[in-house]
Formats: sequence, structure tokens, C-alpha cells
Amino acid sequence: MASTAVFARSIFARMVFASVQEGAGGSSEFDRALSNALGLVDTVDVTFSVRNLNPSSALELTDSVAFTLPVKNESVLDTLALVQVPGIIWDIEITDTLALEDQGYNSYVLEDTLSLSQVVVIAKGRDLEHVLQLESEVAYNVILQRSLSNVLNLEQALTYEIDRPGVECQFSPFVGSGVGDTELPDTTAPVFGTATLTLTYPYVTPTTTLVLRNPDFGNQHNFEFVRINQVTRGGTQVVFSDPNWGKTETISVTIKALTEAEAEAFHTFLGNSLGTEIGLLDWYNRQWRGIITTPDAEITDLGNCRRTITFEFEGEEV
Amino acid sequence: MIRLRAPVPNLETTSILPSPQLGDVKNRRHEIGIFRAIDGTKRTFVKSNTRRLLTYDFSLSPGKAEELKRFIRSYYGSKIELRNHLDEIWHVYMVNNPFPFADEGAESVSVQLQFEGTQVS
Repeated sequence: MASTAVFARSIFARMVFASVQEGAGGSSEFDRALSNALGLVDTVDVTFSVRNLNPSSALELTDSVAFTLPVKNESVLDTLALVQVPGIIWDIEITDTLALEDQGYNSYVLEDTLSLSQVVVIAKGRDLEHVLQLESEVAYNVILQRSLSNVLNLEQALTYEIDRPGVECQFSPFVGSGVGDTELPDTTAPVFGTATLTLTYPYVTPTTTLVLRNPDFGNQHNFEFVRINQVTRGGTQVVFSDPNWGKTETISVTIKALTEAEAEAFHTFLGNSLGTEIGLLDWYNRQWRGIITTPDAEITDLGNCRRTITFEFEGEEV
Repeated sequence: MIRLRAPVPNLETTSILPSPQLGDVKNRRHEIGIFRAIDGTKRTFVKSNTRRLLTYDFSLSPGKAEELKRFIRSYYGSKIELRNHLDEIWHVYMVNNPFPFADEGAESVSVQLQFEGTQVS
């Protein structure tokens, strides 16, 4: 049949082999054979595009499709029913042999379902045996889904230094950038002015001002921090300090060659401001805010105009 | 010349100081415990380590002293890298507390720093 499009094509063949042996009318027979050998072969040769192709054989056996053009959907179904009804007889031997073979190329699901049922209706002895062998072969034997996660933290920091004359003597910090919570040093160059040591009380809206000579060389500016400095059992040194923990800056000064009036004025100022915040303007013209921590500051009398006082001040630069 | 860089390992700040004054000190940090029995026998327990204590005295200009003060304020609790005047590299902590800055002259501020740590190269 020569045609370019076929919408329905159905080939149905039905063939019935019937073998009938009738009795000869005797009382008994020992040998009688009855058999049908039937082989059906459906062959579809596709030369045009086909939407649905359903070759099937009602009674087995081989479905073969040769592709020369693409096929959208293909369903191959073999239904095989073997029914042997021997009737009532002394010796029963029923054997069903069924082999299913599925070959999949684009599908990852191969399923063989085989149900074997043997029922012996009436017999003296029952011996049922099923032998089942299923083989499935897939190109990918194992497909594993792995969930992998890598957490990678990258940190970068930058520092530098410039080799230039005077770098060891002049204010020249080289501050880059980092990732921690540490506050970077201030790179603003300090300004060292000149002033005379001046104490004011109270710090806010001062009412009392005491001007003294600047201290002699040897005055100290101390930094003190609250830190944990411990050594572990394995010998590792651990130093830790929280930024919120206390920091203390202390100025210790000794002022010499004061007059008696200046020394007494200092004692009076100390008594009035005891334990309260005062202001201190230092010799570099920097303003400090804090308290005097030596209430028992002593005056040493070494002669006329030779009083010496020593005290400590704890505070912060404002 | 002394080079301080901090914090280890993410170095972000560098300060260059002059070499320390003569008389710098290096100590080991071993510890021993001595227990004497009533019959006079002694038993010692040793805690050894590879740490050293370096004590340097510096004489700085006021500007350099201010730079060092700011460095200390930021990294007093951090491990720092120290390259000393012998070109040795150390990973250390600044362990003295307090840090005493004393005005020794119009342009001279003295300070003693103590570093404790290990030499890395």
C-alpha cells in the first residue's frame, strides 16, 4: 500500500489450532499425545513517523520493531497465558517456562513483573515449584546523590611599611586594613603644644583653678589593661582581653621648687576635690578628665621655695 | 631597628621602633617545683616550654612614643610579630602591665617593653 499518511492501521490475525482426539470406545488407553505447537511473529516495519505503536501478540512471542525514523511513544506488551488443564488423571506434571527480557536504552526504570500461579485442582500429591529468574541490566549500575558542602572562610589583611629616613624617630604608623574587631590605631599625627600644668575643679563648670609649675623630667604615663595571661597544660600561652574590659591610664608627676603658698593651695585643692572628677591640662596642652588617686599626697619641705609634691592622676584624655 | 606588626596572622599594622638600649634581656620561661621530704630528699617537677621573655628598653621621641601608645592600645591583647635588632622573627605578646612611659627629656620618652613568645625564624 503506497500512502504518505496512515491514521489507523490494524493487522489482526487469528489462528486457532484445534486438535481433537476422540476416544476409540475402549475401557482404557495408556498412550495418547495431544500437542499444539504455535509460533506467532509480529513484525512491524516503520517507514513513516508513528505516534503510537503498540505491537502485541495475544499469544507470545517475539515483537520486533525496526526503526528508520523516530518513534515518539512505544509500548511493547507481551501477554502470555499458558493454561494447561489436564483434567482428572493420575500423574500430573505441569511445566511453565517463561523468559522475560527487557532492554531499556533511554529509560532508567526497568521493571519485570512476573506472576506464576500453578493450581492443581484435584490430585493425590501436591508438589508445586516455582523457578523464577529475573535479570535487569542497566548501563548505570549505581547512581549516588551526594550532598557536599564546603565552608571556606577567606580573610585578608593588609599592612605595609615605607623605608624612609626618620621612620624610627617620627610618628609614622603604617596602618592597613584587617578583618578583626580590633580598633585600628589612629593615624592622626599628634600635636604637642606647650602649656602649664593646670588643675580645675569640678570638671564640669569648674569653680576652682590651680596652676602649678610643670613637673620635672621623670613623670610617667602608665597604661594598664585587664588581661588574661595564662599557660595551658600543654604549655600554650593564651592572652585574651575583651575590648570592653577596663583600661587605666595613670599620670604620675613630681613637681619641685614650689613655694609654701603653692604647696598649701595644692593641699586645699586636693581636700576639696577628693574623689571627684577634676580637669588636668598637661604640659603638652592636652586636656584630661579624671581623679587624683593619692589622697595622701605628701609635701616635702626642702627649704624656702623648695617644696616638692608628688601625686597620681587617673583618667582619660578628652 | 625593631619592627612590630599585628595582629598575627592577619597583619594590618606596622610600627617601626629604634633599636633598644644596651642591656636587653632574654629569659627562658621554664618552671620547676622542688619538694623536700622530711628526710632531706628532693623531688623536682619541671614545666618546660619554648617561650622566651624579651625585655627591651627604648628611648623614643614624643611622636614615636605616641605611635607606640596607640599600637599598644589596639593590640595589647593580640599576638604580634616582632623582628628585633638581630633580625630574628618572634611571635610574642606584650606582657608587661602597666606600660610605663616616662619623660626623660624634652625629646626623650623612655619605656620598657616585655615580650613573651617564641622565635619563628
